[in-house]
Amino acid sequence: MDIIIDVITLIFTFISVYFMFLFLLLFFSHKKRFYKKSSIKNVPSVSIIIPVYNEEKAIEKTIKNVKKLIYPKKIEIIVIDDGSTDNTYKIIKKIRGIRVLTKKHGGKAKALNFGLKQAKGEIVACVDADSYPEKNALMKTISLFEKNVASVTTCIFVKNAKSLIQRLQRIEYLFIAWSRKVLEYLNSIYVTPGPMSLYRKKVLLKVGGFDEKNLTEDIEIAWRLLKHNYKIKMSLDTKVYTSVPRTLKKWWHQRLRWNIGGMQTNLKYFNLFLKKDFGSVGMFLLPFFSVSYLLSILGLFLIFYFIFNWSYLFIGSYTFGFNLMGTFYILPDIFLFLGIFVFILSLFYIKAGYKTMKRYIHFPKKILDVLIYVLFYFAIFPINLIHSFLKFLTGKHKW
Amino acid sequence: MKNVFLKATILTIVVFVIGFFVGVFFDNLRLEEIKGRITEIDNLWNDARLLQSYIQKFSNITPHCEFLLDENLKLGDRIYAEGLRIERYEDTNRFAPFFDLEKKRYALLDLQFWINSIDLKRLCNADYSTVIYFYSQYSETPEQGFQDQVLLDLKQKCGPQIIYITFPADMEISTIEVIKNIYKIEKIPSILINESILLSSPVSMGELEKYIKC
Repeated sequence: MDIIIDVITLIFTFISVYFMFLFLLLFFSHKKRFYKKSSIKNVPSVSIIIPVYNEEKAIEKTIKNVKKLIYPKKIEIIVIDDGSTDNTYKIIKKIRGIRVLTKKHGGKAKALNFGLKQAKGEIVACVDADSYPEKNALMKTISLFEKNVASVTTCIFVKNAKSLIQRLQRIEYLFIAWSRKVLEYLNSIYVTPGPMSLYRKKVLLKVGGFDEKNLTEDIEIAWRLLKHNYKIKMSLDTKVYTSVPRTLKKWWHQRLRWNIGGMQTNLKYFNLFLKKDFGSVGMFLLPFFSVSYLLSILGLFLIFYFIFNWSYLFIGSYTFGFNLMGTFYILPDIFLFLGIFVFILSLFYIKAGYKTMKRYIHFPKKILDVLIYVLFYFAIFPINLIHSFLKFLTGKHKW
Repeated sequence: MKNVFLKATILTIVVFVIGFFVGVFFDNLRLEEIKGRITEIDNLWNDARLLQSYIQKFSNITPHCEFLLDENLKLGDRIYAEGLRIERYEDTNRFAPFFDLEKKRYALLDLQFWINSIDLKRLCNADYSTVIYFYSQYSETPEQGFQDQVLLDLKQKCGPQIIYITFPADMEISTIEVIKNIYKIEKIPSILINESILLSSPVSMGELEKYIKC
């Protein structure tokens, strides 16, 4: 058993070190361009699509916010009521200067496709009904639509983080934004987040629009665009605020959906594994996610193994009356060396993320949140992943 | 872009190669240290044995008993400490796990020490307890792990009041095989107290204390 644990630990460490090096190398070679601003050369027409379902509390504010967006041309705002059963439709109908469409309830992807067909703009910006882009969001993102760029994503921030789980998500979202920017340089942005992402309408229609069967249409469409060798960019200085789950239960449910959607996408494109002709999907994303799943499961296995061992020792010490502390000792060996190395590399990794995102982080007030995030929040992910995997296998998944 | 993947691969391999060499370096360092320490104990043991033989041959042992017992217990403590060190080094070493030879040398030293302790106890009418632990070198069970800890704690608690000796029961050392036959030791791990009481593991601290003066 000891040899198996040693081998698993070595594989786990090797993969972790490799990806940390990869991300750090990408960061150091491109960091000067992270916040690079460029001006709009052509001013394309823009349509904003807001799919909405039972959002009577948030939708008015979202639309008001979207109407304040600064742009040299008139913006078409399309709000699609996806068969809401509350007062959503009544509320949006009263608002002037927007196009209100209604349809039978069919899910977000269907609503987006419905809006896409109605949109007149060259660029469509899909905005969630509970998300709030900053005033300059369009000006900052449209300038990134260079040749062959099919989509531009934005930096998502957590709005009104009050509960602990919301505060932890606030930190997480910052690191997600940072890693998404790094992945831009591998042309491997694997998600065009729902709160606000922009697409070239022509391209979106050409590749077939959003996948209505996938639980995470924003992940699937990103993979499909990459598969067709289009580029996806990340605008790090475009802030979009969004609501996140307030309770652990809701958070858990959301992550199940994200994971299952990710698995559906992985499975859908798995035939492209290590195939060069399909952009980064075959050569990076599929291997990266396969390895990530493996890493999570290995990590979880190691955690359970150590918890089991310690519990067993604890019970033994209680039953047989020996001192538990006498069983712990550390001597220098390859694992201690690699452990220290991974720790130092992780600090560099966190520092790189912090350096990029520091304009949005307020230290030291939230240092406790950061500690909880590093020590506990990460540990929940593999458990959620296993749950997602079981749900995925049994087919018990829905929005 | 391929360059980045290549660089990351090379850096990771370099880190692991360095880790491997660091591991080998520390493993060898420990192995050499153990070899040196066993040789040192061997010398101490020879010195103690010769002293005892000399006194027995040319003088009356009774006036020297206190000194001899004291020296014997000190040697016992030293052997115990080295045994603990070997166990920990053996558990840690990955690339140089060649401890069998050293463990055999150590077990033979332990055997000689035990026999000498029996002699000395009889000649000097001493009242310390001897605890002999027969364990498996090659198939460690959780039960054995617990028993190891209980006995280590007992030794720490009692200090020089007990002589604690460990014998690997499955290392094919003929003397140990004979001892196992004499005391009818069939189950491993087992504990032999004062050459008369045989206990089958697992034995709790409380139970051991019933048989041992501490």
